[in-house]
Amino acid sequence: MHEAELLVRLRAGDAGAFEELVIAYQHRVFGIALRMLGRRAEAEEIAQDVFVRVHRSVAGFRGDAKLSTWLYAITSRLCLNRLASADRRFTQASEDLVVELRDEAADPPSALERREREAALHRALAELPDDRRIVVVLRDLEGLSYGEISETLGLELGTVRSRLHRARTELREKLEKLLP
Amino acid sequence: MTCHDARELLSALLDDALSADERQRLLEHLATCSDCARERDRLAATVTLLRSVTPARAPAGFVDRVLAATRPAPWYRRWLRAALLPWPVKVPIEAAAIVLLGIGVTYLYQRTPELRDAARMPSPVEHRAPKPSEPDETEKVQDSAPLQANVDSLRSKDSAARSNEQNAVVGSQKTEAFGRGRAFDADSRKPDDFKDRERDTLARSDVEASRDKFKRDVGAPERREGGPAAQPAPATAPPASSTLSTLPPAPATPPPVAVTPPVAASAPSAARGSVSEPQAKEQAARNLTAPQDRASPQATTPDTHAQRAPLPQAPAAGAPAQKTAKALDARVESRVAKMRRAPDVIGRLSVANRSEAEHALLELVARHTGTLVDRRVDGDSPVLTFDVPRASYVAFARDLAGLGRFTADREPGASGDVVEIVLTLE
Repeated sequence: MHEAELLVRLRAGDAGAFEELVIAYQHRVFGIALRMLGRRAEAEEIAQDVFVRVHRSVAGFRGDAKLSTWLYAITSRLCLNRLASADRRFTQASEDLVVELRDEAADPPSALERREREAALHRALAELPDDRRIVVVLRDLEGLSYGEISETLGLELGTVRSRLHRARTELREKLEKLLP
Repeated sequence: MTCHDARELLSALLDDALSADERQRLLEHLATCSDCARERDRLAATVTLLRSVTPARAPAGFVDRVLAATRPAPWYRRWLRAALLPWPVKVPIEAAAIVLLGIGVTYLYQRTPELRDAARMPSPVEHRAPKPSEPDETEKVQDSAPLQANVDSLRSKDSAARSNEQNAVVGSQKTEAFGRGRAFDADSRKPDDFKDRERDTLARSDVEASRDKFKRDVGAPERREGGPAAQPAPATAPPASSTLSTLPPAPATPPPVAVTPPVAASAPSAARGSVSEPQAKEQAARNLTAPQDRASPQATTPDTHAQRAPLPQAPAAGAPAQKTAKALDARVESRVAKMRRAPDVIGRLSVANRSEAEHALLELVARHTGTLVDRRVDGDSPVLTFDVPRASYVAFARDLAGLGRFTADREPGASGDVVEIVLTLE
């Protein structure tokens, strides 16, 4: 899918183009929200809100950044706002995520090991500060580059690198037992 | 490069985000520092672990829900939302409703006691024994002001005056009730015997008040009597009939001595017909013939009561009559009716012996079927007020001349059944 062409169609109010956008980015947007919030229902609510906002304001999108970066920026801002506003904490994340992993497990012994490893990983992620967690989620789970992260979060490259280093170091200490 | 500087760059080295110079110097340090090299390996394993996490997938139906959420709502739903939901519309309406509700509740709360009082006012009137000649209760509660304003026309219409005089009774009692406030309401709930007693007391105090008013209006020389305007009746109060028999004709119209209203002088009150009712006549006869036992009240009351000496020929057998509510109401009505009109004749009788002349005068009044209304003392001169039937007035005046030199300041009019005479014995 060519983002420039899709953006032109979206600006023209093409309903099919919006549906294509939702289909293409639903898992990534939902994934960021789930890793940040830890609750599937809340993550779906945020992801749906992201697409509704995109649908409402895509006609005014200037195209200075990539469409995907714009989507990640909206998602990150909504998640951070939600985390900051309601004094909520990253709770029940492991349980929600375990359910998802159990469904995808094909090999029972391997699935059990994998589930325990990922549960420990998400617990460690949940213990990170929000501003560090979003950086490591965007980089290591969603695969964004330093530049895209800088553009998505509005941070300097040095800040991104520093936060990412601190987040990884902290995770390495927490996940020491799982490392080979 | 120190180990601290090297470890700050390890994360960027894994992402290949270092410049060529930084990368070269870091690699040289890692080649010589086993601790930093081991730290790099542990950090790389952590990143590998993070990137091995199963990607999250949006729940089934997510796309449909997003598309449904972005689809425009039907026109009627948008119209309803626009009409009912916007806060700028709802908030002012709700605030106005709350304010109006508060104002309404406050208004009703403030108005309720007055309405309750207004509803209670007719109760003392309704409690009275019904009289056949009384008009409807709804007429009684009418204000008595029209009577004051239309005295002339009312005097020429007997029936109308009769009705309005009864209104005056109600008006007087109503005014009295207002003056007494809630105590009056409380009294109205007492048992009947208490009510009778209270009504008697009320009538007596009303009489005293009206007498004082009469003194003020006429400029009466009884100022030395002093005393409270509405002196309460003593415990050994005389019978109501005796007390009422001394009522002065306190006029509501201008004072007859100072200003002589032409209408009042030429047209005697038609309302005076109520005085000649059989009941009133019987009362008058009883006043003339029944003894008045006033010794004890006069002994216990100062000035005013002491000035009202008992009538010379009044018998002493005035035991307290049984006061029924009906009779008392009739007396009160009669008294109030008298209060509201001026006397027809005001005259002086010059005699040699006042005591003997007073005896003779009372006999003369009784002979002409008249009624003694009041007796008081003006200086040394007794002032008697009595009613004489109009048919007997000419003969009465002729006989009166036989007692002494009679001079009349006012002459009676042509209408009315009774002539009210205020006579001063000189």
